[in-house]
Amino acid sequence: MKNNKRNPGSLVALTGAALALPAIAQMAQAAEMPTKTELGYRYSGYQEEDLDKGVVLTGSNERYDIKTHQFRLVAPVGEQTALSMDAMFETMTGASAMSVVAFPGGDSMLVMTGASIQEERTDISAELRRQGDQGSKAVALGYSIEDDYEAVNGGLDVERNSADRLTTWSSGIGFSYDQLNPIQQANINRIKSEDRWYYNGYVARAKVHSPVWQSQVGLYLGLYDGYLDDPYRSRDFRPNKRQQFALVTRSRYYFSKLKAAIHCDYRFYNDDWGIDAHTMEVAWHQSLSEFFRVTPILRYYSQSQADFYVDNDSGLREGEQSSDYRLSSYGAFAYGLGVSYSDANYSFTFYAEHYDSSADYALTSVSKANPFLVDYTSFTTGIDYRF
Amino acid sequence: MNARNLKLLITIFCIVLLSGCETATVQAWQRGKLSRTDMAWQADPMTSAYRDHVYTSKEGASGGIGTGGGGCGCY
Repeated sequence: MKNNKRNPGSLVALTGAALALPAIAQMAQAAEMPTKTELGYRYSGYQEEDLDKGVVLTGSNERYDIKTHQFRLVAPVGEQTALSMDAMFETMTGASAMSVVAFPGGDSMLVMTGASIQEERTDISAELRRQGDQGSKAVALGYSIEDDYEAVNGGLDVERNSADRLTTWSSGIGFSYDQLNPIQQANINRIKSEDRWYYNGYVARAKVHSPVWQSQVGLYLGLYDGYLDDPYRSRDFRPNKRQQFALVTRSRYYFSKLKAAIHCDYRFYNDDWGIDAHTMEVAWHQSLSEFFRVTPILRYYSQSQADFYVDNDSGLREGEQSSDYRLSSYGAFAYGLGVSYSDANYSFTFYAEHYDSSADYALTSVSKANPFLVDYTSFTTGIDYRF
Repeated sequence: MNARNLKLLITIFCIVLLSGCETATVQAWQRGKLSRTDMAWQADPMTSAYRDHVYTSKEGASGGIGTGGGGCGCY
């Protein structure tokens, strides 16, 4: 951990401490026994657009700049067992919001932290999967650490194929135990240490419909229990439980004449904080030759606001409340383009994406738009080696 | 989740579940295209994991599509 200037607006509150937590129960990814050992590396850059200086009351208008290194090893261990290991190292700089201040007339301004933060995070996980005649079963463990945050997680999942191997049922359960130890600052009364548990599970069915079409549908449940406030915001009081529900459908169709595959994903999300969200993504994987492929991606996201979302922070208000933009009502479009080369031993990949969010994109009506939504540009490049 | 939403979700789920019952037989030798990497649920698992991580950190919803959610301060 390196802190050029330790700042109360820790990045943990916005960037999260785990890289999609492979150990937590996930929708099945059609696990197959690897025949070769594969090593993968990805480098990603993430840059949020700076805030307009006119909306920042104090602090920096520079938002996050994040560099990420990912490593992956997938290898057969014996004839029926596969091991996969993931590691991720992340370096973050930038400022985060501490408070939203409302002025007479309705305008709001942000109290931001300073910008000179540098923080690092490490995340590791491993999965052992046993393949059988009728399916597979796997166990996974993960660990994540940064200066003010530590988490362990684990999961189990089972897959079963039908006799004709056209249908695969899968289910999984997972947990995470997270401990927060916020950085203290003079004259600010902040919690010393808190923790929370997260439990989740899913059941999914994948179906082969034809030689060129397969789909998957799944139900996903999650439950948070414990401290769920953002300790770095001035007035952030959230319920200490959160129940999540998601319905996910995915479809893959191959156009033989075009040498292209279309991916269509949809997720409906609902939680007992009052947020409903719709996520739709379409990706077109166009093969240009035996080795080269180009993939444009369009993603749309919309959510309603949480029951306790407030558009400004006030010391006069009692009860549950948060001005976090992620609890407001808004929508977002993400536009991405990927290019890849892949032969028997090597793959090279590059992907770039721009994310544009706005209250105008929301499916639900927005009584007052949050002016501090995030727009960002990211890219990922990497290599895979199989031997 | 209120009762209306729950009923709607269960109905959608059942419809989708039953929608594949008419599937024709697909023999092993006909599955070459299904096993292509561009037909996988995640064509590039590492890049997908990174993207899901970013979305989970920046949006109110999480879980379901290739992500576990949780284990972080991203609410």
